[in-house]
Amino acid sequence: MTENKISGATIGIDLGTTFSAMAVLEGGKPTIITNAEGTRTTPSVVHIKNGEVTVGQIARNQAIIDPLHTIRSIKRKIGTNEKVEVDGKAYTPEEISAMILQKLKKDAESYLGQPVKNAVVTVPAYFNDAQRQATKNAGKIAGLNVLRIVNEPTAAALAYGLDKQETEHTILVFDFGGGTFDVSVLELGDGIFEVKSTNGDNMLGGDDVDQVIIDHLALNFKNANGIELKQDPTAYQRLKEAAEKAKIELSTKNKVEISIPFITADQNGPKHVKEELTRAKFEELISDILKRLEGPVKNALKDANVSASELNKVIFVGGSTRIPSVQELVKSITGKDGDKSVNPDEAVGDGAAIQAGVIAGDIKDVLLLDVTPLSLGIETLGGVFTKLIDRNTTIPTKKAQVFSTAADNQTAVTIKVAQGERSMFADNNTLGQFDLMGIAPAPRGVPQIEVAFDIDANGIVHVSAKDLGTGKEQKIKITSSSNLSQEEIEKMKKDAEANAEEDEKKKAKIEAQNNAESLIYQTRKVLEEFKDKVDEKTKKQIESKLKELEDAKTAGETESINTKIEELNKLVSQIGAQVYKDANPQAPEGEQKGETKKEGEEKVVDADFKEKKE
Amino acid sequence: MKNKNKQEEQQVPNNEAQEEPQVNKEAELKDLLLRTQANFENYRKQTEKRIEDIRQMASRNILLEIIPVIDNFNLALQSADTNSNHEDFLKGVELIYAQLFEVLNNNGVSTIETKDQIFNPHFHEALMKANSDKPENTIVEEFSKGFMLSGKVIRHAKVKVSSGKKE
Repeated sequence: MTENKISGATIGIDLGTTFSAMAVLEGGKPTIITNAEGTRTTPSVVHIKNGEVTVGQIARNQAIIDPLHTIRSIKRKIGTNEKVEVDGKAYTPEEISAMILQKLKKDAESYLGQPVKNAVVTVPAYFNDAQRQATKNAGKIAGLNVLRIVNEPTAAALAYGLDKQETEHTILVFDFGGGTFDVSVLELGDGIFEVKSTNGDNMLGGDDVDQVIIDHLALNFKNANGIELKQDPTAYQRLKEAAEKAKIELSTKNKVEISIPFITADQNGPKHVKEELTRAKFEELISDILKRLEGPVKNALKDANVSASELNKVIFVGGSTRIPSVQELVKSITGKDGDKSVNPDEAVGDGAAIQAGVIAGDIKDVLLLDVTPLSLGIETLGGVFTKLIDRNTTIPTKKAQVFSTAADNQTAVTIKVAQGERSMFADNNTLGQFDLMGIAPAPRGVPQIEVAFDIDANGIVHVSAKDLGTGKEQKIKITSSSNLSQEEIEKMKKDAEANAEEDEKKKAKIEAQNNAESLIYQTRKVLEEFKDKVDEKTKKQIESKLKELEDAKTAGETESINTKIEELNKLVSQIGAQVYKDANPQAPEGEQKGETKKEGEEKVVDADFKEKKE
Repeated sequence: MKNKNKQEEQQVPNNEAQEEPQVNKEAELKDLLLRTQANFENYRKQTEKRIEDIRQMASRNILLEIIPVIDNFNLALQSADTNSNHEDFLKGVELIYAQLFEVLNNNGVSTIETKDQIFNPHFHEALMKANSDKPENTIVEEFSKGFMLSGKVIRHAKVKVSSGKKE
């Protein structure tokens, strides 16, 4: 194992034009770090006044009233010699970017509880050497050891796990964010990403989509009420918020109700905005924007000398890619459904964290662990499938549970093993079975049989049953559990979903019957033991209730069984009251502890173990 | 008597085969490493699920407190249909407003002070600046309320700031 030369924590930073984000690897998975204000992204806005520097939302809060001291979108200037002047002092773009990085660093240290020394910072794929070097310098000024400058589309590809592909892959990264639009074509070969082409429109983003809706609402309002809402800052603000909200909702709904009560007033009284916006109308409103997205995609493919059919994958980055018509547009050009399985706002930050992890040595031939696709368990009393290991549990893993016998003097148990999601054992895929013999004769429910499932790293299931009393143990090794094909697994899951309600009812019924059986058995035992201390009236009541419960159990109506169980329990507690009344007349009435064990984490379930005749 | 139903079954003997101690130790450590990592993964998954459950639980509690406010709004709207006194109606709406604030208070929410306060970007977002008799940088008007939750700003107050008297 090579020495880890990196000291101090390492984070990934997406240093954006309008927003920045940072992420860190936690347990091998990238996690976005929330900043001091509690949000997952930080506005890339800097405010400098009287020597005091504020970054982020706090700076943004005074941007409108103090533009001379507020710096936005410095990323557009980095790598140039253009300086920014504030209060007579000139700052290089690196110095301003460093202020942003410094705030991110500080907040990350707060979140992680340790010093952050290193970072991987992302830049657009079209950045030239000067711009990259300047970004690295900004990191240095901020006190960060910039391990690497990574291209944003490459970082996104990492977040999608695309570096794990075995064969050569051509990827189109469609990045449509808040303020800029970037298209990149990447080629992956031998674990290295190469940027074949970039294109885009760096003055086109989600804000433009919002503006379209704002204009639409303002126009409608003007036509109806003769008032120009955009001139009123408060009204404008509310329009903006409503527009953004509507845009987001239209990604999942076909129409939205936009409601802004009391937006303004005239001599006739208060006025409200209330109108419906359909997705169809919305798509009509943004048609110009959609047209502007087409060109760069086609040009990027052309410049990369790649045809749409040669593309292996399309991935989406940036919040605005959530818009369905944007996704459809990309599909119409590339012929592919874009992958949006990674949060588009966070993909670049996540990717930077992954790259940071790789360099820092956190992920080294990452031990890729499998999961069990289906639940594993055994058959218990009534034919029920009792799960011991839930599906999607990462392996290797082991889990044990204590079971007992179903009948008095049962000296052997049969452990039947299956995998699946159905409530009844018979509906699942049986894997094997074995017997454990030599259990000391005892009343039912007394012996303690520990059943353990141990799945090793290869997916081989070892099932063992151990009599905790005698120490006797039997094991079985099952190799067939990983033999089901993906389709079969999916089918089993679907079957379980389809039958979930039915299965639950069946299971509830059997559990009620089992509980009834236990209670009947225990009650008779207790009645026998204390028959001299219990009066005739109580005995008769209990006997008749026992009969009612037996009947209910046979009839198999879950609710009535449970009701009878409750009623019987109440009567049974009177036995205790009578027994202890004699012993201590002052003792207060209380509930007798039931012999049947209560449901809990380590529940002792009566196993459906057959009696073996030797 | 043992049942042998499937081909794959094997009865594993209780005694482990004797292997080279060194190789055994390495294999043991590797297995421990894998299991530890798997445990962590499973714990992570469980925690994510628990966090989601808690989140839903928290939402539920607040929603239950808001529902009575909705009930009262309903009553207000019904009473507005019938010919009623404007002043009384207003009083009723004010009561509901106060009730809603009580719900917020109960959940650790407080409002951000803006009246005659000096503009502070940590709490206020300035939408515009205008001449006013009030001293420069004082808040002149509140466009929308700001809120804090347990000491942290969840929404900045949107305000108009004074740029001082007109020259």
